[in-house]
Amino acid sequence: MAIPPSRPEVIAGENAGTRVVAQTPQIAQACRELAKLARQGDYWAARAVKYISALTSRQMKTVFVREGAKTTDSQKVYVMLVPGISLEFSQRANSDFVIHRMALDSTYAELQKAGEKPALFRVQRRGKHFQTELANQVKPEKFRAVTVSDRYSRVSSAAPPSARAAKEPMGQSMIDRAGFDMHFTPGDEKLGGLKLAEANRPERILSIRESAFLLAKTMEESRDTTGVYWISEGGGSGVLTQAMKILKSRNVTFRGSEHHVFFSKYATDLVKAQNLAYDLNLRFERTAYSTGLLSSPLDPVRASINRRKRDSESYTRLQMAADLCKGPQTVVGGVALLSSVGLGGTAGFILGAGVAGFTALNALGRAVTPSTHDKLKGKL
Amino acid sequence: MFSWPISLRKQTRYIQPRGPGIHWAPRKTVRAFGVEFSVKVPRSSLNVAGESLSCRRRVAPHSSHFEAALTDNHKWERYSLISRRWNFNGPWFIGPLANLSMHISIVSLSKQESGTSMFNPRVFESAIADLMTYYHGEQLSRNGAEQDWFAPTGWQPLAGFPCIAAKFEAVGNSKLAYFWREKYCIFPLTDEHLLEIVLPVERNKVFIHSRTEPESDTNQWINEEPMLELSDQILNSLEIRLSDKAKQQQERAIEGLNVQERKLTERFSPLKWTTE
Repeated sequence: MAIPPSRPEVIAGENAGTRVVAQTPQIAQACRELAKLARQGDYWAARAVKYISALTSRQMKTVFVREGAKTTDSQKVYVMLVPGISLEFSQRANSDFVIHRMALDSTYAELQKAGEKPALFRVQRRGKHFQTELANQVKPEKFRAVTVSDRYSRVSSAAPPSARAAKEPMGQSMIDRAGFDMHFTPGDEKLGGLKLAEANRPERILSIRESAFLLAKTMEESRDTTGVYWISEGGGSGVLTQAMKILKSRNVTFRGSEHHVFFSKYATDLVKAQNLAYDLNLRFERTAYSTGLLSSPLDPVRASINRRKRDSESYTRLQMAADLCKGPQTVVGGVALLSSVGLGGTAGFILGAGVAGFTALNALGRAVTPSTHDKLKGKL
Repeated sequence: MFSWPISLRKQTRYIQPRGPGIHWAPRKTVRAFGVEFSVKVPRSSLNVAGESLSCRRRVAPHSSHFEAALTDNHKWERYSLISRRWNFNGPWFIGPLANLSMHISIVSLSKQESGTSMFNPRVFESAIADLMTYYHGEQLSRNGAEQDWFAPTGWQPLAGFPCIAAKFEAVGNSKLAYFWREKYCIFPLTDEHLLEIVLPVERNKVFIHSRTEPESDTNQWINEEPMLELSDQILNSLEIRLSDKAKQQQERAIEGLNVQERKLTERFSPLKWTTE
């Protein structure tokens, strides 16, 4: 007598829609654990259960195809990634979805809290320092500021520069009173800047892929909130670029949501980021970036011309011309300061330094030692 | 050994970082609501500007000067007096590995029950319990089964001061591998106001084997002792002198209490915020 093939356990859609089955009893057990977690109120487990049940109506909104991988019956392998849960599945010829692999890691949120994994934090001022708290999604408040931080070795050291970046477009009082959300990426080196491979092709940096996936998810889910301001800080522009690239490949659009972007002291390719933002229907204010020490001085020139090309309606020629001069501001200021020493003797120096030097020193100070600049400004 | 805050090399082994010493540190005196206190404050290192803050010698902030909107829950208000941060560096251009901060501020309940005084030991203790709940009570993990912080631990009533004062710590849950630690010292200034000294110890995440995944156990790479030692030295240098008005308030608050009731409790075990 032949042994009957074991009946695969149905996880969802037994009565209606496409069936979702588990390949092995172990996976079925893991699915039951997942449902238990979701009932206890675990945010990501609840999301995962929702995604699995959405499969019964053939909705696959947040899954990716694993390129090159095929099942034994040569079907595409789909991957679903949410924090703490990774799930691989494929579709059989009889249209059933079958789950091959499922890994639950309930400690992910703890690693996020300890600053060992990329995560979204809610940042709030507490006296002179910042209090950070792990969050799952952007606070559903109108005109919320969300910063994308550079790589830092600690969450607490990422918060002050992020606040500084957020203050550029939002203003001091807004950030100090209402706080902001911060997408944090752990790491020991800054992104982009002089590392040209990273600066020119931020969408290919593998080490921030996980962070970019999370950010893309956060961005996609925040579309119901009106007017979120996405502000990248330093090398955070790389993470933002990569996240926008992911969103573009998923045909996500921000039309009607009034979300804005700002690149503070960008350290990666500005033109690429700008183009992607236009593709996603994200918006720009009159000024959409600020330059830092590690920003390419040529990018503002390219970005201004590019912006005029993409958006000739609201971005006038005059505005473009003004922006073209802005990029190498620190360089020009520094040169003016130096040349005034050589040309006009003492009187020329005092006059030249007075005019050119002040702007140059201000800009240079802000670029080189932002915290000292803030301190001096705070005292005046 | 030469420990400078310039980072040119990467850490490869267990390190005991070095920070500033207390010996030459100047003494900082502040008179808040007439109560004079002073602590030794080492000079702050250079690259942490923007964080430091010094107040005037005499302060008596009006209630509108207090910062209320700290969180959605405006239960406690704060007025910052002194803030400092000191870097602790590794030897030979390894650069900053950890830091110790100090934040001295006046805190008060935004709506205190009338007729109660912070000079009363029981009111003082319940205020501390309330303050710790305000800071850490909602920080839970594993679906509310584990709390992220334990506070107060190492409770120690301080003797030798004209008023009640207590020293304790808030520590991260070691079961969840959180290496956080904050030292606290709190004493009353007036019937409504408490003076809070917080000294949070922070250590960098160590990246040895990977550029993006930090090592899981920070204790194996950076020693915490130097930061704790400096924070103890700072707290040991504390001196308090009450004003006449504060003395009157204190007498009124402990009137009719026996000797046992005038003391702070010897034991204060960590609060439980989990619901199970």
